[in-house]
Amino acid sequence: MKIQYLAVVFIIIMLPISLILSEYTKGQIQTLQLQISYDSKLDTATHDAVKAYQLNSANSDTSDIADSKIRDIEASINTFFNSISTGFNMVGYNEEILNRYVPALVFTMYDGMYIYTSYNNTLDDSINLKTDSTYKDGEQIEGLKPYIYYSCRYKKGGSIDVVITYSMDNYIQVDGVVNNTYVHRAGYLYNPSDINVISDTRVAYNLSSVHSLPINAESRRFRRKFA
Amino acid sequence: MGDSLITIVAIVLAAILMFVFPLMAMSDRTDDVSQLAVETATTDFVDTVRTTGKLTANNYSKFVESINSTGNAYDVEMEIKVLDENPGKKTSQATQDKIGENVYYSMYTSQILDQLEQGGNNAAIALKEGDMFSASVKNTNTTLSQQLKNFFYTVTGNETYTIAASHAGIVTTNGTATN
Repeated sequence: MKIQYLAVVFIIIMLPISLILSEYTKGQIQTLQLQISYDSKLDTATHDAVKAYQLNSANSDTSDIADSKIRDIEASINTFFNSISTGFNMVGYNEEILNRYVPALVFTMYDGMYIYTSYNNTLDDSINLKTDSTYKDGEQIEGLKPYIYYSCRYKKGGSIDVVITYSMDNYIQVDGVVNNTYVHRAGYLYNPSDINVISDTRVAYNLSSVHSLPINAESRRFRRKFA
Repeated sequence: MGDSLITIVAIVLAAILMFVFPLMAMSDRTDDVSQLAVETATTDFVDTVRTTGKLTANNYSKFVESINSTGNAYDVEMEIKVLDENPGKKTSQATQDKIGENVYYSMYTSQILDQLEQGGNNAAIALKEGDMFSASVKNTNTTLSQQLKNFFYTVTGNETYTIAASHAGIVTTNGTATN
């Protein structure tokens, strides 16, 4: 067989292979590009939502009141969807359409969180509902759920049954029954080994070591003590 | 006869493989580089507008200059969504500066450019906290890689573009129209 034949046969075999491989690589590259662009749009939208919340609460005198906070968060959620629709060039697509594609938005606050997600709406007065009412009983709607505290119930035998509410830093709140007496305590959690008792009314603690302790370690140690 | 035919086929294949394929690959990479440059420039431009709170003629011309330096012609579309004082339908109580509760009205490319041209070199459009700014860029000329692809498989229509970038976001500062 002449070398020209060999060359042509080689090309006939190799060309489709290389074309398919290059198409495959191109597909991979496009997927990555799309992923990056989606990620950046989502990042921008999240940043916008946080920024809107910051600006709204900074410009408001009542931002620490629950009602006002909920309002700020709802405004922030609107901003998120607005930003998403602008980012994806889907002007006119509003929250109701877009929130099908957003499973949940979580706002982690100091001692709890707000979660915006879909839930089954339960109406107490379902018997008296008219057929043309806006909401129906058991309908799945998207909305902001009530505030969820970072709390956990700890129960040990009959002596300890408390609920501890954690926060983003060392502040905790303990409510419940310890040795048949009701306790309600709140304060900053310190490592007992860092505290030196000077007298009955005065203690000294090593603040630097307290701050360097990760919160998780603190709460874990605390949990171990109680559980 | 058979020999010379196969030689011609081999020469044609060799010419395609040695010249056209590398050319296509190179032009594809050039487009990739242009794409990256345009994306970066668009993001920078939009972020500058968002963080300074104003859209200046100076910034805009710098942006256009930097994307045109990739050697292609581009169509730049901008949109300013201005936060209005009117509340959206869901709100029962409204504050005029609350972001996310009020409706937006839009200014599009031609309106923005009109306003920038009227003001001369120091023209600027002031934006406020909560406004949204978006820009998207597409190439309008046919790049070398598009031409080669059209020549070989003619799958691309007139409306296609290979280089495109867009970025958008909320304005975070109250800008002043003076430079």
